[in-house]
Amino acid sequence: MKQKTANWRSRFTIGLFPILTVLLLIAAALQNQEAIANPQGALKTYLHNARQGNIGFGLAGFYNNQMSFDGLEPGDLVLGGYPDCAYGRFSHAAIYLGNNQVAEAYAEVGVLVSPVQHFHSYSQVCLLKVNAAPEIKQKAVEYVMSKRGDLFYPIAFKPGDRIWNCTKIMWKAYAYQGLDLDSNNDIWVTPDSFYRSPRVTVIREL
Amino acid sequence: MNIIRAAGRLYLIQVFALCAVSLGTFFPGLDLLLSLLYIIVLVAEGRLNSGMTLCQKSWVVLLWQGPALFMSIYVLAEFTFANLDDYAIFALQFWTAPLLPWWSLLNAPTPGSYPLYYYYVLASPLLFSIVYLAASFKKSVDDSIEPPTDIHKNQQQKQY
Repeated sequence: MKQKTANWRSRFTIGLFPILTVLLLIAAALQNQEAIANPQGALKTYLHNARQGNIGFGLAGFYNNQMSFDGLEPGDLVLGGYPDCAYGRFSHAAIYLGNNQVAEAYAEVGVLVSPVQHFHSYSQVCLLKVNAAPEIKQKAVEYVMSKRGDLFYPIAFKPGDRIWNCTKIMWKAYAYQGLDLDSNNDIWVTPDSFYRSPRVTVIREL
Repeated sequence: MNIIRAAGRLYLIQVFALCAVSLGTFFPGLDLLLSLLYIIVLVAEGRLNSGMTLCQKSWVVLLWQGPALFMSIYVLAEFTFANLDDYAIFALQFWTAPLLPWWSLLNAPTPGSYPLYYYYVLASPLLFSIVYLAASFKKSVDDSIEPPTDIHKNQQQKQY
């Protein structure tokens, strides 16, 4: 009897998470069939680039681009990208706070404030003006600032407000103000999705 | 052979737990439950291996969490060899995902430039190992104080 219980427990512990993984995969896929089928969606873009050998955020380095950050207003977005990025043209996003400061999210540091000048290190940069009233943009900034120090996880899905990546927090900040900046209506938000959004205007890009 | 089997089981559980917990974040709240379930499974796995010696259990832990412990040291010591520095923290975050939902709840200011969860992530491989080892020791203690069964009593009587 004791042996039988031990065998059953052994099978249970080894089989539980594979079964749960499959069930959750099915549940998430059923809820997001359109997003998964979208050729411009995050998943298809990533898989397409992975087949060509590109994984992650690309060839990081200091590319010393000569982008000017003039014309940015608090609440506008700054995108940066390295060559061979797997998510699309851009790999990173930040929200402009004013006074040459941006709020952004990284793996080691979570949500933090840093100087906008570090975007000179990217090979491609784009400044996006969010087409919204200054009050809405200010509220978006305040929301991001209230999440300083929160956890970064690269594959943060849209639902929930405990786990972030660099794009989800900007998307959520504006979504709470009634402005959906995700042009793909995807499971994840990519920086390219901001770039294609009809609710933004490109100020400048390199 | 038992060591490789036990470490292999723990690897498999960890890999699928990180997938399940990551997918669980799509349904906020479920990730916390799955994270708790992972701890329960880890404790159960430790109890299953309670018959092993301390040396064998240490080998299991080393095989199972050794690469993650190495990554933690790599990140802490700010090594740059093998060009892993850009991706080491990402790899650690994925590996320690079964506990990440709880770390997302425990945010507090730190004196350094890193948030609290950064230290949790670095310590997680050690925490996994401690939970597993503690669970396996507990069963051993339980067994040692378990009263002798009738079979044991009969065997003792036969010896006399």
